[in-house]
Amino acid sequence: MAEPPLTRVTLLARIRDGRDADAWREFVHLYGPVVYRFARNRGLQDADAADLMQDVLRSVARNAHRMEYDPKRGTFRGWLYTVTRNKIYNFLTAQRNRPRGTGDADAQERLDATPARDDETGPDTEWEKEYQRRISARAMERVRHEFQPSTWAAFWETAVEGKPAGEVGARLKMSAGAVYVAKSRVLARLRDEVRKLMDAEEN
Amino acid sequence: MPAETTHPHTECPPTADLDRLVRGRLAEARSAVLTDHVGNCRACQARLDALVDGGDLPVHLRDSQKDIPPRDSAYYKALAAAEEELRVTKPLLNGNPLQDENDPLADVRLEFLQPSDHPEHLGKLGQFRVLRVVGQGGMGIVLHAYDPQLQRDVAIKVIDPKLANNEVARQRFCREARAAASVTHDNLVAVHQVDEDEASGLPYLVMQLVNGESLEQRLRRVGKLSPLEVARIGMQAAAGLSAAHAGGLIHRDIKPGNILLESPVDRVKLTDFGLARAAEDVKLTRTGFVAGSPLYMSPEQARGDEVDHRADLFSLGSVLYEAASGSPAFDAKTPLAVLRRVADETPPLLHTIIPDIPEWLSDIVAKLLAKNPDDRFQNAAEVAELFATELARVHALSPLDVPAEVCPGSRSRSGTLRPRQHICWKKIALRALPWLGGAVLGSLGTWLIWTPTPITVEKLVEVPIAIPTATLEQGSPPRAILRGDSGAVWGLAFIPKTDLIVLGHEDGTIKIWDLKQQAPYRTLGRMGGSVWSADVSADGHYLVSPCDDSRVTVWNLDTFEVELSFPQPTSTKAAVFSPDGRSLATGDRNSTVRVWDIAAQIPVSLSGHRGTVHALAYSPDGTRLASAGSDGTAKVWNLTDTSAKPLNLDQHKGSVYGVAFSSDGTRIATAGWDGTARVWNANRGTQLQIFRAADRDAWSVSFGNGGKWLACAAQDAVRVWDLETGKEIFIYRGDGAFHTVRFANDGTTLAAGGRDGTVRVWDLR
Repeated sequence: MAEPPLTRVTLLARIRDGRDADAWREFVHLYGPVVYRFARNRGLQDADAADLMQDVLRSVARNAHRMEYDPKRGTFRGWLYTVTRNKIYNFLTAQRNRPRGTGDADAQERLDATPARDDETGPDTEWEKEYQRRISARAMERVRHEFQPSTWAAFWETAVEGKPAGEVGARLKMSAGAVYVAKSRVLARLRDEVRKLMDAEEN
Repeated sequence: MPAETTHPHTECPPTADLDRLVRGRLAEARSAVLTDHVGNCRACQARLDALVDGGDLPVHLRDSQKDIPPRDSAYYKALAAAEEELRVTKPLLNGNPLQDENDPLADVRLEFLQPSDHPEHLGKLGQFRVLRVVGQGGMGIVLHAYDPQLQRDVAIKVIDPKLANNEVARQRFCREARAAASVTHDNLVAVHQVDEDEASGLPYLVMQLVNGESLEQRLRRVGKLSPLEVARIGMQAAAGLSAAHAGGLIHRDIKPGNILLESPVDRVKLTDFGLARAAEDVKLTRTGFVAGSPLYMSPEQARGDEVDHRADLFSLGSVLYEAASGSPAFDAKTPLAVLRRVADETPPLLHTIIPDIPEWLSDIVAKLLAKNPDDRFQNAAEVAELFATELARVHALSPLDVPAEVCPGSRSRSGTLRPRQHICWKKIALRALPWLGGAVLGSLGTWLIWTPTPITVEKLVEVPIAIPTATLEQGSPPRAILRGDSGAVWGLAFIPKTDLIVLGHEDGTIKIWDLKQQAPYRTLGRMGGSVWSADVSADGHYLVSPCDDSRVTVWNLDTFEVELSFPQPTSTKAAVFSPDGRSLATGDRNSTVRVWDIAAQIPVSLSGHRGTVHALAYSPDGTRLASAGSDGTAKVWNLTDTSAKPLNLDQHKGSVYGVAFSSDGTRIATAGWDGTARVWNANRGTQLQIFRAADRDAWSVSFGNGGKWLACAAQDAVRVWDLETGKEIFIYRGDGAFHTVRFANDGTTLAAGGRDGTVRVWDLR
């Protein structure tokens, strides 16, 4: 069984600690949107998806301390995917069978506390895509202020919007070379930040 | 010209150099050469792309900007609720007025503190005993500490030890802190001292500890504020800004978290002046979790341009917009998008999205939010004054709310308040137009809730009797001296047919003393603010006490329990029972007198005063009610026809603080800011007599000896005049002001209470 490296405090470990408000906030802002958008894509209405998101986050809050610290049993986001998927399933089932009860809450709690094995219930591609989008956006939120507005604009317009470097440079009064360098710098920084976020998330 | 068609003039650099170029680790000259080369070399452009290998990142980024939930989506609320829910499980983060919500306490390190011999203290910093960590914000840690020398609680901001080695950060911190310390104003958190801890070498600033919550916490709790509340906060914040700007300070980070609302009257206190800039300068990225959306930034800040004091006005506009509407003016999913909106978009006018917002408020906020600083108000004083004028126009202004800065030149150069500062308020009031609508009474629903709420009732508390100290007192020695320890005595009432007297204190306690024993008899309870007056019903069974926290409480004096307790819309200064005990009159800081039928619990509002209603008195037959107001008038209301105009007694200069009816109902006495006590014909409103009571404020009056005597409590003395001869028959000088005076029902026992927390009782012959 792999020992978690002591020097790297993962997001999960920090959440489990229960006193790290920073970790909670990061968790909410990183995963809340993923859960919401995933739920919307699965056909839930705005209000229902928002409720479900809150429910999932709450569930994590309650169960984080019970989570096994065993990376072999699955990743954090794999576990989260399972929780989310189960709750969506329950929601849709309850909708179909309105008169029936909502099921055994305790059993649901137990299920929530069990990390999924990736080989059994690996996060599906849609979940993974939402996660990648979100983590990219989060990285952007975190590094954006490190760059001059023109550097950022050069990156955004070339890399994200796909405009030619020459055209962007002309507008921003930058040489084409400066635009390329700006784009590379920002992208490299973002890439590192995404890696850092993913590292913090993985066990 | 497209890069593809040109040819490089220099040789392609090795990959290691390209790598250093991307990481910004090349000397400037080399960097310039390589940048130039890359611009012209397709091969190196491709090498750069391969080196960086962002993969699908740009695609993810693009997709992440799509499908952003619409503004009215339940998503935002749920996200905020989730965050809040998780937050409240963290006990360290609760209820801290100075806490920067955005910053965690998780990794606060306190190694720099010296050990304390007191087990409950965290340690010592200089002379200060550190009690707890309040928060971590900007570039420092905020501590709650106790100053044993001045015997007061303070907040201490210590530079983050992680930044202490950063010379730039350090210098900035000290410079900005000293600048902040040089400006004092009622609406700024006072910075007492800037110092450096000898042991650790850490600079720190000692500030006033503010009890209350930040506007951010308030908005999180209540969503949005009423238009008048927004205007009041806008007025006080602008006044604070005006003082700071006059001292050469620009805040640069006005946001709800930096606007503190001090309990119990929500006085605005701005904090963290200049520290935003210090933090910005050292590129303090912290862990980056909340690098934060620049929601309140001005367009010039968003562009990175130079800013002046008008940037703070824009930020104030953003804050007020959010406070009034419940959502930020420039909200967006990402900081980048926020910046774009700040720079390019004009939010819809407030009154178009929220119908009950008056146009004037909407207009002021819109002007604050002008993109071009030249189109905004040009100084904060102008904004404060405009808010004050508009508030006065809708009769929602209490002079106590009016910051001195509203009136140009109203402060002495040293920054201390001049003692006589009334005229400015009147200037504003006189400019005001007649009241137009029902905005002030819009909160009817809230004051109809008359559910008794639990109040901590202390049972028979021992009050230590202070040892008499040498004073400058002179005059007839009192028969009894009741030395309390609860701060100034604001209210006082005899309980008929007993030897008991009820006192309302500054610290919110209501105490009953036994006059014979000269000992405390009982503490009724402790309220959330000064207890401004005390009145006992004619039958002696009930006490009513209004409190600065806006609550009016009726106590049962047989059981000493709360009989009724209800909130008023604002701080309430006066409450009296009608002679038959069936109704109750209240006067608040929002100009309003209300007469409550106790059984029906429905108030009749009497509008006419402007500003605080300081005191009330019923005529002995209960058909009329006299009120004393800070607008310089006393009014006599006909309660049998409340639509009739009140009789105006308007000879006082400045506030009228005290009012009393003679026992035969023919005369009214008043006392006021101008230091006079006056006697009036209660039916015609003509002034009959005038007495000089003090050089400064005269606070309270009471008729005695069947209407033959008049007692007056004033700044320097208690005096009694014989009204038939006009002669002074009694004087007692204290070394502090007397705020309240009353004759007992016998007409000869006189009690006076005041600033020193002591009540003195005399038997006059």
